[in-house]
Amino acid sequence: MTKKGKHIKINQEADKAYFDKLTDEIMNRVELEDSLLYRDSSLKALPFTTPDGYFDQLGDKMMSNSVEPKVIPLYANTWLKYAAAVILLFVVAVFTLKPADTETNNLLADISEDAIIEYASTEESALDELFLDEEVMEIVLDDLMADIAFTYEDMIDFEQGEFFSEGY
Amino acid sequence: MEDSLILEQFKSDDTKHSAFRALVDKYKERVYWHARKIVIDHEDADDVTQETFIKVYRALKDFREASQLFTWIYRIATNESLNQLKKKQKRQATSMDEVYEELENSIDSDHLISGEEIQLKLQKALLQLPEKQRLVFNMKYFDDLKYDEISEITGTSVGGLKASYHLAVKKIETYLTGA
Repeated sequence: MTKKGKHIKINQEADKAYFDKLTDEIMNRVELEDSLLYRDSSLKALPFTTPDGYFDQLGDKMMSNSVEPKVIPLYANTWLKYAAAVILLFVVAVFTLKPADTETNNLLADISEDAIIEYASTEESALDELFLDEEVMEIVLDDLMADIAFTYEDMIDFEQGEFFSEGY
Repeated sequence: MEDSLILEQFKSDDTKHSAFRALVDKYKERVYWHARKIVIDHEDADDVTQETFIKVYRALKDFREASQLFTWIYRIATNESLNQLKKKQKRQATSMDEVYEELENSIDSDHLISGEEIQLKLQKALLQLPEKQRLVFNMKYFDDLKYDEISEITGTSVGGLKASYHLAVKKIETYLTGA
């Protein structure tokens, strides 16, 4: 047998196997068509119902259950943090600082103006260092915000230190 | 929305939630009814549907084959449905046979189950079948899935599925006709 002849024979055998299988497939399908399940189309309908509006609310319920709450950072950027801190300091100062002590003012009055100017220009005060060093400023502001956060504990999640909104 | 687009948009933080919402809206009913046919009870089907989508959400970012998204979701829903029945069995400290018996009884009494007598009888007939055979029947007869798709979902060969389905049809026929 030539190579071409052998090739044709294999194809014919494959074709025969396919068509034999096809016959079985068709006969099985016909058998199904004769069954009650396929003759009575009402059987395709499920006897199950759902509560009114179930699928309408299912999507919303899924999103609130599946999706992580959207985290809104309390601070969008460092400047916002600084601005918030300044405002808070002001509020704290207004409501908590005591009125100027007359006695202390009198003590300051005893120090000459020249002495004060000399101190301000030559001494490095701790406050100057604080405001020059951004990293330290960050730490101070974080501590301040943490103190304020403690006051409003029902609004803020402690674990992540950020404010969570409902939904997404 | 096309499945490929859903997968693509899910990767980006900006569009992740809207993509997931589109996925939920696209498949929620199919998932629910697939579960309902297995667990029968509406509340159980509701639990299964939610669990399914939670698992889909967690795993979706790593899923690559857009053409198989539907069968993948179906597979998760199938497993969750079967787990729900097992949880019921453990909760009630009974056998699975007793769980099925209870489901059969509920077909006549549950207020969210109503239909023609023969439709109810069909559901009872299905509860007599082995679990996998019932799954195959549901997917082929009610959902009209192709054997290839059912094969992907169940991990069973197409030949095995055809044999299982034909056998199921014969058993049900016998039950329905009382022959």
